[in-house]
Amino acid sequence: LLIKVTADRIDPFEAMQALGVQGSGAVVTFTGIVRDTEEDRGIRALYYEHYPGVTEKIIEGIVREALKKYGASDGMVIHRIGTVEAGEASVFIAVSAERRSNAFSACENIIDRIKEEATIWKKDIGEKERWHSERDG
Amino acid sequence: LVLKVRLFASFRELEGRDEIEVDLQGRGKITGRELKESVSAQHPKLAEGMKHALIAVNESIVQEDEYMNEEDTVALLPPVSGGNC
Repeated sequence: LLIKVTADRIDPFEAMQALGVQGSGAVVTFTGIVRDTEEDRGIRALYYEHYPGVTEKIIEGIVREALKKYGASDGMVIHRIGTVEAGEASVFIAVSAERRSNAFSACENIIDRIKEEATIWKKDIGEKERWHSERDG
Repeated sequence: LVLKVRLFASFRELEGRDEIEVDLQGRGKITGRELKESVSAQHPKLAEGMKHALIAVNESIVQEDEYMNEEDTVALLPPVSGGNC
């Protein structure tokens, strides 16, 4: 189980080497990319800030629960913080399981819950600078 | 008695610093709800955000009826939902 919150660029192929695949028949990955538009406005980058120590703990809990719930073998999450340019990966998730349906379900559950629960905040950098929490709140 | 409260993201920018002090006005402990009321009164720039703010005590997110005192590590968090991808 690898959970990393980092300012470094994500290399999905290098990261996947750390995933446990013994006995697995499937690996499902999800890469979140910073889009270049948000509600018709141009986005140059997103700035990510998080609560160190707390974010990692929350994400680890989410991954452990998903592996158990969907019967998956191993999981990893790498999330970038700081400025992430449009077109770059902001989050990478990989899940291994004996069967593909378990891996797909676990992977989707993990990204859905990270977006709702992890203590990570995003600010649009571009035509207009705005924290997403200002709109959502 | 003074409680130090960490701020993140939009709260940090609104206040222009990453930590504020909240006067407990003689109380040894307060609930999360009372914390939000005190922050709104003592730090008006943050008042609008308190309605949807989350509270973390000792690095765990807690309900508003949870008690905290000046020994605790307390943080106020803007809502975290949303995303771009």
